[in-house]
Amino acid sequence: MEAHAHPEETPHETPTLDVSHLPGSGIDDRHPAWWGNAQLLLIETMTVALLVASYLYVRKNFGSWPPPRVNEFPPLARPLPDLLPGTAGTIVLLLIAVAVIAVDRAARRRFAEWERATEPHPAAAENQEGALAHRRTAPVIATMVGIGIAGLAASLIRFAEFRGLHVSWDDNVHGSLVWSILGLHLFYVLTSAVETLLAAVWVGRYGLTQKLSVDLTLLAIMWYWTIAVWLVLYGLVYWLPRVTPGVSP
Amino acid sequence: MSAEPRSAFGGGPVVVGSDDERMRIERAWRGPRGIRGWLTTTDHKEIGLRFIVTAMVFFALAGVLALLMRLQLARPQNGFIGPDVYDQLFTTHGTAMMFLFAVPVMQGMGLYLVPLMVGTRNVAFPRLLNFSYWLYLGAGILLFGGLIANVGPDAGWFSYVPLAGPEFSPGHRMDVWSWMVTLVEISSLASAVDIVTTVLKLRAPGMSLARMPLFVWSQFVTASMILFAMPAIMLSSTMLSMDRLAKVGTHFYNMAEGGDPLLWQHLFWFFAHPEVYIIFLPAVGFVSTIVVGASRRPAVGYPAMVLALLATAFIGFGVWVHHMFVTPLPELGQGMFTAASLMIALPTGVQFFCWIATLWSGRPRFTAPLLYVLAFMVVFLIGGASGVMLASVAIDSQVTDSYFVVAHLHYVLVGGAVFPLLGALTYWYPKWTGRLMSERLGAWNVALLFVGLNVTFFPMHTLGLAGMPRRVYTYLPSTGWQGLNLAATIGAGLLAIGVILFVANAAWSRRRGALAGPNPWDAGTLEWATDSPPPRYNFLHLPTVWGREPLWENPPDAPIVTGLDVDSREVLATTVQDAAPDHRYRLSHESWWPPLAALVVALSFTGLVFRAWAAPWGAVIVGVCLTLWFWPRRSHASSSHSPPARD
Repeated sequence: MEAHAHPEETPHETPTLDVSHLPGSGIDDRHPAWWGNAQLLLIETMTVALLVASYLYVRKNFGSWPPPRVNEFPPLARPLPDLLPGTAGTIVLLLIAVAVIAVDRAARRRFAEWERATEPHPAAAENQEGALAHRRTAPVIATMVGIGIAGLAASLIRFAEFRGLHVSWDDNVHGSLVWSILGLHLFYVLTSAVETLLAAVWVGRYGLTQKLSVDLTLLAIMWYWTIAVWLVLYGLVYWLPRVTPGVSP
Repeated sequence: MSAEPRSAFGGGPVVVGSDDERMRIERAWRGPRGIRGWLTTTDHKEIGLRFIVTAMVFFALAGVLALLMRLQLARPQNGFIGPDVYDQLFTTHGTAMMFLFAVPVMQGMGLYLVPLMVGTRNVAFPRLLNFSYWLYLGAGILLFGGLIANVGPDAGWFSYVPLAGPEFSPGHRMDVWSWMVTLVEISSLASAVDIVTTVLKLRAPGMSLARMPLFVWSQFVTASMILFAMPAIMLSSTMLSMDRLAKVGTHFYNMAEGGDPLLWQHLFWFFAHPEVYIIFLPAVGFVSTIVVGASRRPAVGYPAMVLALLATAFIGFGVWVHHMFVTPLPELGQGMFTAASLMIALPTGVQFFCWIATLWSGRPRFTAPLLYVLAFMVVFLIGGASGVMLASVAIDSQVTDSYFVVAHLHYVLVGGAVFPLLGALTYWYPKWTGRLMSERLGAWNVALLFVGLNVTFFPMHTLGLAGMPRRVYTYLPSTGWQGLNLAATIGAGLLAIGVILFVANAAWSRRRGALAGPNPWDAGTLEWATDSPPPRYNFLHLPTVWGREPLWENPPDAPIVTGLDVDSREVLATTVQDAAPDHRYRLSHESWWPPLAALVVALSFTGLVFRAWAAPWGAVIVGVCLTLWFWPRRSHASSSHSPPARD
């Protein structure tokens, strides 16, 4: 009973659970930051899912989708969004995914190297820090800069996508929704791109430390999520209006 | 007995249990002092208490608004308050109680207690907590600042469109509402992420999920619900704001351009019904803790209680349409939501029986916290029963938007959340202050609040059945409603006296209360295994856990954790299911950037009440703050074995 009522008075003979031999970092779901990242993405997934649900919900109010634009000349019976910019943006994002896989793998390899280097005692890491952190970082940095630039390019293409929607956000509810969907996703792409460029700066400055290796795997998860979500949104915005009949009973 | 040497500014090997060890841990966890320390603190206890105290202030303010409304309704055709002010009063009252009091105070309790109960030194992301608190304060200032400046929201706390839309609510009142709500939910989400991660990754070795205290389970389930529910209100209120903002002018809810007002109701209630459980489940955690502590035996039916929490969380997301029974919905859908709404009473019933069985088979001491719990059981039972009535489409269609609903929701929220909360504040008061609150005043307090609540809200059932609609600022003498309304006003006065008595008791006991000692309730959970109030680092040595009630069940020779770096803020990360030691995890230090980022976010949202341009400008500045917040310092970027940077 009450073995710990007063830990301060614990006699020195109390048995101990010595954790000094444990590693200084975990990876994936062993690491608290992975869970923070996962929850952030869960929150965003809910947001996107509810936006998609809203799109499908208001769509039922229309006999023809997208709603025709008749208040201008010439009137548009079916203002379908242009496929070209949307598809181009999708291809850029898929290319980014390939590069992200490469960075993800490099980061995981380096994390494993850190684990090996810090055995048998983690404190040994300090001695090798300089050497291991700065080994073979140039290709990783170059790939990350490429990802960042490609992400900014995808963002620019997004502005062409807005123009290709043939509807403004304040024309009707279809316009409001597709602009919101593309806009929200643009925010994800921009954030991921900027974060990748920042992380490239950090790797250049501090080397591929164990902590930054973990950070890069989290960044990779963010990219995978951003791209996977886009595939759903791309289908919704560009293809759903095409494959479903324009006029429902 | 010495751990391995660690290079750090303290330097040298450390002897377990020595003064040197304690001094080095104290130095590592000491934060900056003065105004800087106050603004940048990352201590979960400091921030948790701040959440609690701030929420109680908003509770008092929103309570004053309720008293004003009750005075206006005390007699028919009263001229005390006009309709325009009355609309602002009831909207601000509901909004403040739901968004600024009920959820934050429950999260504050969790933020204070969860790290202590799971046996760690702080939450997993300490800076995020600081950010969360300042956002919350900003949201509160926005709402009450708006009310004082006569831009208090006035379309009801659920802000139905088209009434809340640009056409019928010109001006900025509803913009204040929608941005304030989004702001406070970002804060809520940040705290929830911290609680979930702390629960999953920082539990003391041996505290497997099956040994987690019921309070921690309730906080974990609640925080998980927040992650699923809050995005709905953030999305829907942002859409409302965009509909309303000049130069944006979207049409999400505008029927003329194909938008749909019912979309608002769906999105809002998809958030707001789970919200009720987000408020209620932490209260369930208080009740379980108090019942177990008072009965001096482990909870009866622990697995059933945990499953009941999870079941409530799941079903809680499937009942939102019962708020929309008078909208044109398919009958089959209504039937399903009726069934789900009836079903959600079952897990709550399971917990009731478990509490009764625990008390029955234990040796209960009827201290003030338990008296609050017993009052809760009676009152919540009545509120639950009227809830089951409202789940029926036929009854709901008759009493919707009447005082019957007002009666129901106050029984559920005051009885189901405020009573357990006051019991919990009484129960953990010695943890924060080292002194007990007066038992005698506590008993009077329970009696006063119990009578006050029933006198205030029971007549409202009858008023609702008699046809009195909610949200009317006055009524005619010929309605015959004056007697019951007067009774409700008198009851509100009793409630106010009860709250004042509670505050007086807390203030008096701060200096004069009986000294509590380390474990005044002989409780079994880990928060009582350290000083009251606890030091910054919570535990000199992290404990190990050998049962659900470690202070009752741990063997006398239960090991303590050693080998964490005593010169930096290092904690132990354990595995999700079994809480086996996994790795050492270093927590971040205080920083200026979280409070600054919060300030910029709050200012941007305030700007968005008036101009859309606040969004891009705010986003850029917040982006800069976040970049600097996460900028790795060399010591932190490198492996976790270099010395911590000094602040």
